[in-house]
Amino acid sequence: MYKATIGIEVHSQIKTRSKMFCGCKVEFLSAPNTNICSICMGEPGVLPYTNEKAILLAIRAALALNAQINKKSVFARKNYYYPDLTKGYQITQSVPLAENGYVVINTENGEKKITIHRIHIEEDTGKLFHTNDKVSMIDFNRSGVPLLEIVTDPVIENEKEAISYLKRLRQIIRYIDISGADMEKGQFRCEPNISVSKDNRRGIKTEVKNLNSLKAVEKAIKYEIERQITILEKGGKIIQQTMLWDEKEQVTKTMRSKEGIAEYRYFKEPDLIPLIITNEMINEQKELIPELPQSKFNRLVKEYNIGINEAEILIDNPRLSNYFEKSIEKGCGIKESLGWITTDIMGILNKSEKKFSYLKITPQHLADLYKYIENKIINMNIAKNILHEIAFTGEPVDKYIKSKNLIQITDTKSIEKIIDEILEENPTEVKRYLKGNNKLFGFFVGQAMKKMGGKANPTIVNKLLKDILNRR
Amino acid sequence: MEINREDIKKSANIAKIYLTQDEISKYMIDLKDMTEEFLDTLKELNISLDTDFDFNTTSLKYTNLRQDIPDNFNNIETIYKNAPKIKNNLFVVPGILRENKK
Amino acid sequence: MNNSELIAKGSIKEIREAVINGKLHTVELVNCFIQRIKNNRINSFISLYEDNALKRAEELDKKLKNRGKPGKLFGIPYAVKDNIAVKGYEVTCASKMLKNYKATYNATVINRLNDEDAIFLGKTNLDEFAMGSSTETSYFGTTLNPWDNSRVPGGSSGGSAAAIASGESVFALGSDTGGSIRQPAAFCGVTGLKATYGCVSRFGLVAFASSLDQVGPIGRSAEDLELIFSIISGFDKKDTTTKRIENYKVSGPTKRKFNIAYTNDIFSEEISPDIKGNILSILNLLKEEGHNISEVAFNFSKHSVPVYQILSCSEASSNLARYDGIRYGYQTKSYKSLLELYNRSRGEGFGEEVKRRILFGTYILMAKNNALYTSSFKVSRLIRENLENIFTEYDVFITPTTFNPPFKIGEIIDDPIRMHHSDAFTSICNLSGNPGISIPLGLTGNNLPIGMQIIAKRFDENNLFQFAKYIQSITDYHKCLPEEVK
Repeated sequence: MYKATIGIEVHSQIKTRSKMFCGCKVEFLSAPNTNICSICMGEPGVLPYTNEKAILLAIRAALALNAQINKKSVFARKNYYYPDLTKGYQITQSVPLAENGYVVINTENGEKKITIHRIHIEEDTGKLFHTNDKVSMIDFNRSGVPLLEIVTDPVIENEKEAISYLKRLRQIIRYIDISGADMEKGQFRCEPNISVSKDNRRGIKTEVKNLNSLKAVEKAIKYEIERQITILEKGGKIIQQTMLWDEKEQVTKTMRSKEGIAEYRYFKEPDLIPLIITNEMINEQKELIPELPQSKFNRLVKEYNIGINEAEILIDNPRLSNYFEKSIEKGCGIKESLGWITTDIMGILNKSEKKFSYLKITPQHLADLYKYIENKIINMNIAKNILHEIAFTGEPVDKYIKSKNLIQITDTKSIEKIIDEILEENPTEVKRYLKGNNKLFGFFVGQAMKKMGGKANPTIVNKLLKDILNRR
Repeated sequence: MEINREDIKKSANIAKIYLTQDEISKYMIDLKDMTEEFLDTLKELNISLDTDFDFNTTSLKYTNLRQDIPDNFNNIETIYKNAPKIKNNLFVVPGILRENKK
Repeated sequence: MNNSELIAKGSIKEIREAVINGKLHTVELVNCFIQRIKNNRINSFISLYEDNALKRAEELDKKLKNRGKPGKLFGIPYAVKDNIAVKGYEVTCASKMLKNYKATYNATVINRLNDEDAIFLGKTNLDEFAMGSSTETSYFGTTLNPWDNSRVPGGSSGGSAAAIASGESVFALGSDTGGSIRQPAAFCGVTGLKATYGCVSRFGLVAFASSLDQVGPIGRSAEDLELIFSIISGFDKKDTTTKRIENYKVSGPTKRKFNIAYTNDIFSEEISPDIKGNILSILNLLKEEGHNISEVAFNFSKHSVPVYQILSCSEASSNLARYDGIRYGYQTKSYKSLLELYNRSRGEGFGEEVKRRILFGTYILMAKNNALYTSSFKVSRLIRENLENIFTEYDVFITPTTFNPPFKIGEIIDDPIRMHHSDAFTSICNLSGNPGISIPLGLTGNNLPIGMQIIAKRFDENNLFQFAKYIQSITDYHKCLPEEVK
């Protein structure tokens, strides 16, 4: 049996207004080469000067990832040539900002700690566009944007764990508000390294780049594990190299390394003094860390007795779980709130492609709806319809129900009358039902509900219909 | 320290500098002289040759950091003008995809 | 002093006063320097910005008329080594690589000088990217020594030193990585300062070796340099390696007795007899004046150069990686691939000495050789500790600036090892971080200038200037001028 060993390097942009080492704006959608200056263009004579906010946010991240912060960390230069790199070197760290952290993920066998080897600060490169075969174009707006590099130990065993880790990490980054961590915008980039082995020694690893979605990460890891096993089975050897995920063909391909030979000639960045982290900086950031996803997950499961999958959905967006908890606080039922949030509200948002912040339904709305259902004034279907109707208007539930005359019909006399009417109108179906076609019962319910504009209490309709048909 | 033509070629390769055969020969000798002189110095001063040096010992109590406030760089036009090859404000280089395919 | 004497020999203070008192118009003053630059044939300037300097002079004259408060350098013309950025003007670094590159910003030192109403004249010649000791590696040709046109002015700030010696500017900025201010100052018979590392902002100085580079002034006297230093030094948020120190205050005259150490190196056979003779005679004079003079055994002069080479080449190889022909600078005419664009642009754009140092540095920083780079810092620390030891007992430490007076053009250009050795005494200060000043010490029998280096404790420029000013108050060496300037 082959065992896979995976480590993951994540680059997350740090949400600052200006760049890491100069005052240029950080903006995703700007005209090419407008957020540039002498410094991020690597002009002769410039020096980097460090953005305090980037450091503070990185400290916050290190704390949220349970890492030990180095009171003194050291910037270093990683030297290589590539057209998107303006100085011929990237400023990174040799003594990292923080070390020895971990992220807890849920696996089939319970919780697992994914240990983090190091967390350090560095700067992003510009962006290359390949318009055609003959030329490539460079936009340096991204040059010098602050990045956090988070490197795990090789402790991940399969693509599922990898995805759980990445999802959890991304959640943490969003919870503590240091980045949008949007993969499509390149704010969150993953580079897994993968090896397989039959014994406990680690095999030769390959690194995979160009992964623009979690789906791609999952597929690429799976592909790479299988590729390596196939080679070893045939008696071949794995070459240590960087692979590129080909989204079109869904395969990994050998990428020519950036320099032919990886010789980065690291040395201490002489233009920057060591980074001193004070206790005040650490304490200040500690205060700003909210309840983090894994503890929130455990608490939700325990406190509300909800399922693991539902809890995962809720914690994915802290606003969603807060929303949920608020609605319960206001008096909504747990099951109802969960159902409305995870299916209806999420569905509405997905369909309209709108963000959560556009939603006008408040936790109070949910609690109100719940009250109407509890009091049998409306039924669940009506409630769901109301949610759709008021999603982006936020009309109070009371007002809506009254104005649309949606109060549930519970009066047996009128329901009986309607049932009689529909049986009258569908004599053939009645005959077939009485001959034993039980499936038609649902048809009758549907017809009756339709005639009453959906407002009838379905339990009563069912009971009365059964009684009347039995009498025939 | 053994220094041969390959070392010079590799350095030129990494440093992205085209060298003639003559230059390689000349630089090889100079580089050898320079490193040997340095190694002699270490020997005389009784200093070991290793990477074990703590750059981190500066006794700084402060850290010079900049506030996260965007400033306006007002000379982008000169940056564009300095560029050897630029089109629609994008810097142009030979196709890189093509090189990867090779 | 009449106006022409004032212009040729006056101190900054004297010239400024003459201008403010209306004895001399700024435009007249600037014009005078421009004419000198134009008439001189020593190739000290790479570029002269005549119109702009005159425009600025007119503005200042107007400011005076409108009773604006005159800055500390009001109306004083200055030249800038062409590896320091002045916004809107070319910064060539005397290289084909940057021949047409225009700076997009001002170096911090330039802003500070301009804020005090100094007038920028133009850019001076240097060894390509400041790599050299003679200005012979300049893409624009060698600068000639004003004392003897067959000789080099030293380097790399040769253009700046020659410009001061030949009366083309009142002061000039240079940069010093291994002696690039002090050695040409000595060769040209002027005064030059490399301050403590971390005192003067490097923002806008084109990097050669970041751990060693410092911007500094070259001028007519220690008094002038102290004034300039007080203006350009101090914390700069754009250079995190500058130290948060209090603003430097110009020192007053002193009657104190100095504790003076001098290196036993002056008795070495490598030192030219003229230099040895002049240093010994000044030491005697100091002794007669009642100062305490002691010989100190200092063992690092022979070690500084190899260490300096390893360290500076390593950092240079990284600092000069940005010149790739893509965003600015020289781009080769023909290329078919990215690799060709890189290799040819850099191969054709850089001169031989620059390529040599980049290659060496690249080799040294490779993983397998990286210990060479790290170990060079161990030597630096040892030198620093030894100097600190000297300064527990002494105020200043005296060495020759160079072994020899200026050499002939072409004499040692093909012998890099010998060329590098001319940095032996000066590079000590760059490795240790200590401040050093070179002051003129008269002439050899052949009428060639001699320099003496004074080193002080780190961040103790005050002591350094007090002592240098004291020497210049009891001697007249700094007032010697080449024949044609007189």
